[in-house]
Amino acid sequence: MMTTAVQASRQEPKAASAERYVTFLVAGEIYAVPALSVREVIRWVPPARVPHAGPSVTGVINLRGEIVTVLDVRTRLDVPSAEPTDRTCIVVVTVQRGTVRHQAGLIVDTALDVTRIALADVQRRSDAAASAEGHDVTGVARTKAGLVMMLDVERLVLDGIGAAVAVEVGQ
Amino acid sequence: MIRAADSSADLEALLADREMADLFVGEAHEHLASIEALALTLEHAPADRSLVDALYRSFHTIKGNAYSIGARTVGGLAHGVESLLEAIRSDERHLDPGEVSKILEAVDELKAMLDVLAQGLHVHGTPAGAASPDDRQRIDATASIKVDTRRLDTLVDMVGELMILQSMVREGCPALGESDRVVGRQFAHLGRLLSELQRVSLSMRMVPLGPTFRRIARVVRDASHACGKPVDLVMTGEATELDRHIIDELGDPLMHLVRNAIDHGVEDAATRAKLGKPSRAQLVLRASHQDAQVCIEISDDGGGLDAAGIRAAAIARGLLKETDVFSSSELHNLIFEPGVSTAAAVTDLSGRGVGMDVVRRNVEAIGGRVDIRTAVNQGTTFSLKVPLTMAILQGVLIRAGDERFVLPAHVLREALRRADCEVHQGPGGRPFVAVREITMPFVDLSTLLGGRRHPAGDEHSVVLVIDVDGRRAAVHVDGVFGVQEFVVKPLTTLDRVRGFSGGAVLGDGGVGLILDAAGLFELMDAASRAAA
Repeated sequence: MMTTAVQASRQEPKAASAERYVTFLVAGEIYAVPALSVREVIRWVPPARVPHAGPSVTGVINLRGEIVTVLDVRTRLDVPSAEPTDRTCIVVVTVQRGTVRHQAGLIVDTALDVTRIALADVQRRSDAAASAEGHDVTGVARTKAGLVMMLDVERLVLDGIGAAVAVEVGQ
Repeated sequence: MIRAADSSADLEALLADREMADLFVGEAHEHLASIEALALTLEHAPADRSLVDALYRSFHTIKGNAYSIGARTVGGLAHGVESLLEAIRSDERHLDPGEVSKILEAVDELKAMLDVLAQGLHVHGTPAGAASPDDRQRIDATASIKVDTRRLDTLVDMVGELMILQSMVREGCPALGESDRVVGRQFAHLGRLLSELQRVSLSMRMVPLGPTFRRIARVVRDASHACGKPVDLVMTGEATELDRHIIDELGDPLMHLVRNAIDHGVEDAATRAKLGKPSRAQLVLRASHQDAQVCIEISDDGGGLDAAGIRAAAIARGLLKETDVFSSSELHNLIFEPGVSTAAAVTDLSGRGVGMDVVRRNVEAIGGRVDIRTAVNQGTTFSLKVPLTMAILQGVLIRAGDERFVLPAHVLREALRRADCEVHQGPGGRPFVAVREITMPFVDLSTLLGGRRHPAGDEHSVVLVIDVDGRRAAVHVDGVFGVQEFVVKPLTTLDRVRGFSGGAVLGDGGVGLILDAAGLFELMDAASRAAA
């Protein structure tokens, strides 16, 4: 959250606080993740289930010879799961924690586009609201396309994968 | 002994010419390796003057190179040995064992010095204007090129991806060959070229066992002196090649087995004389290709494993009960358990019962296995079977429910039709089967892995007997697609999930998780604990 804001101002000083985001649709709502964290968007391919992994890990896919963990965004956002359609996409994102780069695919109903969102248009959720409605949404932005939920991609990925570890250890 | 401070002047001199310095250190190491081998041979053939000459030349070269670059400490030490050899040459006498030891000590000191120098060169980094390590491809006497192993790994990975892509294309359009003969032929040609490319790229990571064997020769010599047991070492198959990663992992287990063979395996000279054996014990180190694997054997002609002693040790450790009946081969395998040792006395070398368990763990970690053959008063043979490479896995593609997994071929003992297995209910309702009079737990793979159950027992359904460390289980699967080679990929972000060692990209582009058999046993244990 803070880090993305700092990065944005460092990378695009002239565009003030507007940053590029990749938007997608999940259960009728528009969500956004920083474009800098997105490696690519691919069409849905059926992941191989990883037994005894966490609830948000749908499985693993082969991305040109690399094995990528795929997370179910619906489970993370606590909305009912849905069968994939021909519009379902996997948004492949990378996040950095320390020196380790984590990569994961996010299953979304459909990818929309890349938009600029000014930080001034983002209304941050209070901590109380964030903890009540799930951690992954950090704020809401008003755009021409409508209301956009700002996702904390770092937390989404690390918690999503970390959940797998917690379940494994807890056995 | 040489301390780092002694060679600080050497380091300063070396830093003046970085490129020459690297060359000098590399060459000196190569000379020292051949000196070590020569000295060990000389010990057994003291009359061979050509060996003394070769030793003399090697030390002379090290000295000359060292002085010319200004490494006077290294040069001085080499000069000392050179003078000793010079005297022996002119007196036309033989090297005595004490002198051989002196030479080997000098080799150790020189190696230590070179390591200090190499470290110093590394710490000081590459000076501005000099070629970066990547640009500097040195050419040695055999006209080969030194390449960063990471580059080779990348190449092997990329070739693996190409192979996968090719099989995806083939599965994607099966009519390719029929619709157009020319395209079909070209596609087949492409496949052959890719296989060849994979073979060549993997072969670049292959290195011979020779240097490892030479290090072992040194260990044998030192251990034989320390134990006061004269031992002759016979080595065959030094040219056998293995993936560098595998060789790196094999060094420690081999060293341990060799020390163990000398310390516990072979008897002292007096006992051997009483038994009518030659006073010098013989240790054979043999490497050979067997199918797609490499087999390395360490044989001694000692007393063999003492089954009664192992049994007593295992009972003392609580691994066995007095009443348990074990076959001798099962007893022999107990030496791989932590804390079991048959050594009468704990020595500096071995005998604490630590080590053999590590040997087996290390070998299995690279997908290999250890077997023992032993006969009383005739000796013991340890055979290590390891794969040629870790980038490729020999595995069986299996179906469990509606999912596919890869089972490493080396844990598979046999496959039976489900119809030929009678499943019994054991204590606590735990199912088991008897295969060739050995009873073992029976599990359904899909159930164990929490998969969606497929209607069980159709004609494709198979029971696989798996074996890890002598522990067996009968695993029920819904289909077996035969043994294939798989390109192994790490499960980077999920590497702590139990039961899987990696992933394999399948022909249709999907992923088949590679089952880790030891992890499966852990899951079975967890499941039966939960049920209890």
